Amino acid sequence: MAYAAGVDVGSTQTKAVIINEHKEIASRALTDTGANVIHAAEAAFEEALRNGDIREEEVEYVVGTGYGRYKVTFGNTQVTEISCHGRGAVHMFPGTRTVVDMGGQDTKAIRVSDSGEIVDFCMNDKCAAGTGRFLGAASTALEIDLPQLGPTALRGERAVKISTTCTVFAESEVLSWLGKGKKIEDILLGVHKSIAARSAGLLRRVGIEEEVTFTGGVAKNLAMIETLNERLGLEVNVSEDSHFMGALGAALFALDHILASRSPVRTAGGRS
Amino acid sequence: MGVSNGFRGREEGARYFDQLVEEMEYKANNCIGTLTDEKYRLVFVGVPCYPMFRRFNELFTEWGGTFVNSTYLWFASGGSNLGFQYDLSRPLESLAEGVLVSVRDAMDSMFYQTGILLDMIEGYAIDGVIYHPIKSCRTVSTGLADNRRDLMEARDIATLFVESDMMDRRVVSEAQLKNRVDAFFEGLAARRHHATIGKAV
Repeated sequence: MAYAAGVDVGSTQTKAVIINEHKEIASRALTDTGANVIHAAEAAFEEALRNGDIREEEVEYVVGTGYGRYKVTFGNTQVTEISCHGRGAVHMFPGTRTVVDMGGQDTKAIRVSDSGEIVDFCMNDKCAAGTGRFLGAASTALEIDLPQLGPTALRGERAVKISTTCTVFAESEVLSWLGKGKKIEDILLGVHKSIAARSAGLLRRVGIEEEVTFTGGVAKNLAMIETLNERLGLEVNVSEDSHFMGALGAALFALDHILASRSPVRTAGGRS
Repeated sequence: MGVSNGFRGREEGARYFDQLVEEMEYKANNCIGTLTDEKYRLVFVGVPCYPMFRRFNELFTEWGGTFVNSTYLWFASGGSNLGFQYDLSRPLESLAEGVLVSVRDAMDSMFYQTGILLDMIEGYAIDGVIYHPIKSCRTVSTGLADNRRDLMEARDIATLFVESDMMDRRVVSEAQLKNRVDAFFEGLAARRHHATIGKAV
């Protein structure tokens, strides 16, 4: 059995997915990226091999993606995470025509064709407003662990209005609402609504065409899903593997190479 | 562009452009250019990224993309206005009319872009249109997002929207620009691939 792998080196986490020739996920792994990006890519890939009980030489092609894609030194080629998220989302939800990907440092709105190729895309500008980092700032300010942000926000009843668009200033604004005696739940609900509003703005720039699939690490956050649904007036698709979508897309591109060429080995500079 | 602005209506300017046309025709006829493997023909909309002018261009040429036309050379050189004949019997009205018409001609490339770009797409066999709004000049950047949408509704053409600046390095991020440019070309390659096998993307 030949395998293809995708390694998505993101700003906060690195994901690896290995698929078989039937485009089924054979294994996956996730690790913190940290300061050593090359090591993170290797660690995620090696863990995926172990998790799937797959030998390295069985993986015929590796595609790197994400901001650290050029640091996947054992990879054969690189594809942007924009293409990869689109490809992964359509594979998981074939009706997908629009993808919203929320990661640690950027949010992307991607319109895709029925085969998963990019038709149009739009990303947040240089600032991190409306991204996972925005939630990270709220987590720090409110002293709540990231996984608890969503459940806490869902208990909110009267969302405060977060008016600033800057992640740094948002932290100050959160603190000022605390100073005014607002409940943490209501502040967090306001934070989520603020991110949903900015994401909806990005989506409108590429044109919202159903179905919409929500990918990236932030898609694990239930409050984010709910506020996004409310803002868009529809129900977004969310996979259990939402945070692996970029790596899955990369693995699918890798499989394309294998099927096109049946190339048996990885190129020079690879690990084998 | 400097010659166009500084020597407008003068013999030296006309001579320069005559020689330029001659040189460009010679290069075109003899396939002389900086990009020898042209894969994609592009149009540039907006003001160049001067803080990293060469590198910005390389982000495209590395994929075989070359800019064959732009709106910049039009509006920054005063537009298509060839002059205005004032009516001296009604000087004030004529002056107002002249200023209005001249400015409109200069700004048409910004405010009525779609028709101009559609002509460029046909005339220059364009594969994609690059929109480059900048922070330091909102006059030429405001509305580009809407212009882009308008063009995409009028014509099935690949477009890219990347923001940076004409002077301020603080708002120029090569890594982010590269990411978007790479994704644009990936989409362009997929579009071409599907076109060759007869399936529209």
